[in-house]
Amino acid sequence: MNQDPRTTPDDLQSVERSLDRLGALDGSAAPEGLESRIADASAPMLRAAPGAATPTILARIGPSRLRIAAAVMLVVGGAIVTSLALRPGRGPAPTPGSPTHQEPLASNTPASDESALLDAALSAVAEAIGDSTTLSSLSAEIDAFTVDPDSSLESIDLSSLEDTF
Amino acid sequence: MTVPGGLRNADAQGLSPGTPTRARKEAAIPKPKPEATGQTPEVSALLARAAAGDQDAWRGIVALYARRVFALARSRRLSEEAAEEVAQSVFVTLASQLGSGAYTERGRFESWLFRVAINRVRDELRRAARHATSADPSTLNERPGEIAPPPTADDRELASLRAAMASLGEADREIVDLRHHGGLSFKQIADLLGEPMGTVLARHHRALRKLKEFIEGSRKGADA
Repeated sequence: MNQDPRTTPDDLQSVERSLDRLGALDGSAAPEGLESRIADASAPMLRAAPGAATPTILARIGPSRLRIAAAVMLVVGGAIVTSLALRPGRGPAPTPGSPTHQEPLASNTPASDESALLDAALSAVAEAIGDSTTLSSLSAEIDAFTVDPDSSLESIDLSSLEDTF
Repeated sequence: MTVPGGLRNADAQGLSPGTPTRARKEAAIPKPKPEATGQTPEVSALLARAAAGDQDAWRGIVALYARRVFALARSRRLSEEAAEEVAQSVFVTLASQLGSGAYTERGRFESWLFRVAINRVRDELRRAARHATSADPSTLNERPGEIAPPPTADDRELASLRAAMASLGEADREIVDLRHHGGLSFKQIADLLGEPMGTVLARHHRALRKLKEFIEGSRKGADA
């Protein structure tokens, strides 16, 4: 069983031979089909080892780009929520001159400006992760959501958001 | 006439006198011989093919090493089932590492494989000790429910040797197991344990001497 020729003292060589024999005996006493069962059980791990796909995707996009994209998405989401929350005609109007009184900001922001802001933000995301295909579909989804704010968002109760802001 | 080794290597590789110095230096670096690491180029080729998803290559690796891992586990008195579980776990780990590209082949595959194996065996021994079911009578050829044939002199000698091995300390025992059940070279054992080869050799000789003394002491006790 051993391959490298090492000098063993003469009086210990019989023990060494016996150990070799014992090792060979234990190996040959393996149950029938051991190799097949082990190969069958382990081969699927060879094909689909865990963690193989994730690093590939991350490496392609890059962690810094992902962080930038996530940050931009947060800003865009925040801007949308803010603009919706500050739309006029939601909840009780504060009395002019009171501490909570604010000029209706959203009324001063035309819909075209909001759309331009959104487009600019999406362009920044596209530049950050370099995948315009995914983002164009995302843009379409957002457009579908905001295409008719006066009708589709009328039913949304924004009073809780107004309390927050 | 004495020729410097580096130049001799360069000549052997067909490097001309005009070959850049760096290439000559690289050519002069001795490459590990297969017998030094215990790993043949065939094993390296099988590993590369298996890592690329070749099922036949993977079966070839399992066929080469499964019984040696099984024998290593059995040497520690694990049952057949537990030894097979250990072997299976070792190869699942290996397949996972190969498939994910986490294993880098550097000609030390066997040391790596048996390091995983010895760790699994340790885990299994700890688990068995907690459940107090580690003793396996079959390792002494005493299968319950079967009428065992009368032991031959050879059987008695091997049974005596097993008993002697149980008397060894853990560090010495691992070297003996890796050498004689795992079939590793001393160089591979030294790599695996992170010890100098001289230390491994000395411990191996010391373990053999302890085994011899234990067996002789048992014989004297039986004769008395």
